[in-house]
Amino acid sequence: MIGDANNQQEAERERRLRESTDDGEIISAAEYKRRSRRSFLSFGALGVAGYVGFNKLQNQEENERIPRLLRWGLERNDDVWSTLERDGASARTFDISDREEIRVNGMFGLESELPTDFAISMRVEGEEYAAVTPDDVRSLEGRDMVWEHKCVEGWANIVHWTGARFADFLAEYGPEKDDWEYISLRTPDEEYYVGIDRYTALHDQTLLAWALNGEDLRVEHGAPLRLATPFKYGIKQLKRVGIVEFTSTRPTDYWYERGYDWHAGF
Amino acid sequence: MSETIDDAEVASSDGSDESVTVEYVAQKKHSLALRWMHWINFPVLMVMMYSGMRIYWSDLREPYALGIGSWQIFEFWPDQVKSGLQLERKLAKGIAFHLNFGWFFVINGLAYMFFLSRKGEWRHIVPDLQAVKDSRRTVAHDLHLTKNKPVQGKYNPAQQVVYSIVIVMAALLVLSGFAIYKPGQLSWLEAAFGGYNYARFVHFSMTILLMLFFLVHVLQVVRAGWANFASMVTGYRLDRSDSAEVAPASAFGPNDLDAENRTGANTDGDTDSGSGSGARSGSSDDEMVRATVDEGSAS
Repeated sequence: MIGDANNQQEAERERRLRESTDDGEIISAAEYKRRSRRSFLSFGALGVAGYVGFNKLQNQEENERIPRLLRWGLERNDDVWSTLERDGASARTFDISDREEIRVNGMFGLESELPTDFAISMRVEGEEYAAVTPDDVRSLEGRDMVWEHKCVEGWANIVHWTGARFADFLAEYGPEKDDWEYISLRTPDEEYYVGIDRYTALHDQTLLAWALNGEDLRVEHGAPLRLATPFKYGIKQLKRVGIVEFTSTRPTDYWYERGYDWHAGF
Repeated sequence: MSETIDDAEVASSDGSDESVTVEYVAQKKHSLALRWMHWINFPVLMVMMYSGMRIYWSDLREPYALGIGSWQIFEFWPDQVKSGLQLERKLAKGIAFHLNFGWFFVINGLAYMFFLSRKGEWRHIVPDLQAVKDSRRTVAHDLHLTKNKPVQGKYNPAQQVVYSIVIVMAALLVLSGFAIYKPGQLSWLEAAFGGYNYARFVHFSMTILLMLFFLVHVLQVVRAGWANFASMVTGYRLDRSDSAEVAPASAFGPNDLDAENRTGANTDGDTDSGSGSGARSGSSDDEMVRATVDEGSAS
């Protein structure tokens, strides 16, 4: 007897199940040998090619600390996401009671002493056209927003920011000619710097914040003013904004130069 | 080809021991498309898991261990593993590989979905209720708890159940991945997972479960033997010409139970039909007449 059936019902079921496997072509053992040799040779060749290719990729010349091809791929990723409809996209918001303590992860650019007459230097392509004091910014309409702050390392905290919409700040203190594509944000000592695109800068949820969880920013959180946006990882949310420069070419970025995606965004 | 089958026929019909010239034939089991999609998954998932682990261990202070909240079953894995595999402080490269190679998995998965639907291949995979029930018996059989094996089509009931679950898991893996990747633009997806941390948890859990599946899968492939493994490379499965693997469906079924005693002409007729469809349909008609005893069995 053929098959695994123990009774009539199973036997009937087995025949029905086997019907779906019937259409497979049947070849002789000799023909199988020929085809099998060819298949295994291609299989082996593809395996070796894949292994060699992957090693080549890993050891490829680097573009800002990662293999060129991977860098190229990250840029294409952003092409995909910026082509897809994203107007109106907004990050989830939470209730103020959900807010948590936020981790402090980096002190780059925060070590030096801040002068008492500190003001943000506003520049267009390297030329300063205005200086904006923290009080100027605080005179703008304040907004409270609660969202999840996400670190590129994987952790996330729900935090409550208070600040002016970056778009409001730009409307008041932005350059006369509105033809910029990017903004370079830097700490006063230029130790830490990020670049953001127009979309992020003008997004409703992007703030120039002065308070975190209801308290004025402490030094480690970026006092007196920092960038806060739920559309970028923490590495892009510059603490202690000292220089705001409008550019037509994409500005560099601290972590971009160290192998990360320039966009690092959601 | 027909020559081989004739030999088999002789061997089975006379039924005596001395006729043992065992002939082998091969039957097509896996299409070229299926084999490509199957094997692409292997290196792509290796790269994804490796780069994923580099991302995972970038947060050195508090590894996201298996458990809920502060209750942890264990951490993945000992420090020696992390440093040995160069998993620490490789976040940038981890992300670069992960976000590039992920697309291969997505495209491969979409191609597979198309394949499943277009060719009706899902019928081989998706179990019916009986197969779900039978899957326990497959497991018992493979653990040598019973000799009794449930009946099956292309895949056995346990394979059907597990493969179906794995497909769903892979879909969850991709979707949770997108939720983690673009929680701004795809905030609805992030919300669908119950939030960022849950999406991460799903992503991580599915990975662990896929690894476990992979281990069992490889173990089962080793157990199933070379012909089975080779079929995923060559597309053909080499078997004895008188084995169930290459027999046509009409060789199975109620008639064979009583044919056992009679060494009936029916069995031979079935073996013959392997070479031509005309013969096959003829013999199944024959069977239908005899099968009427069993109500509703003819179909």
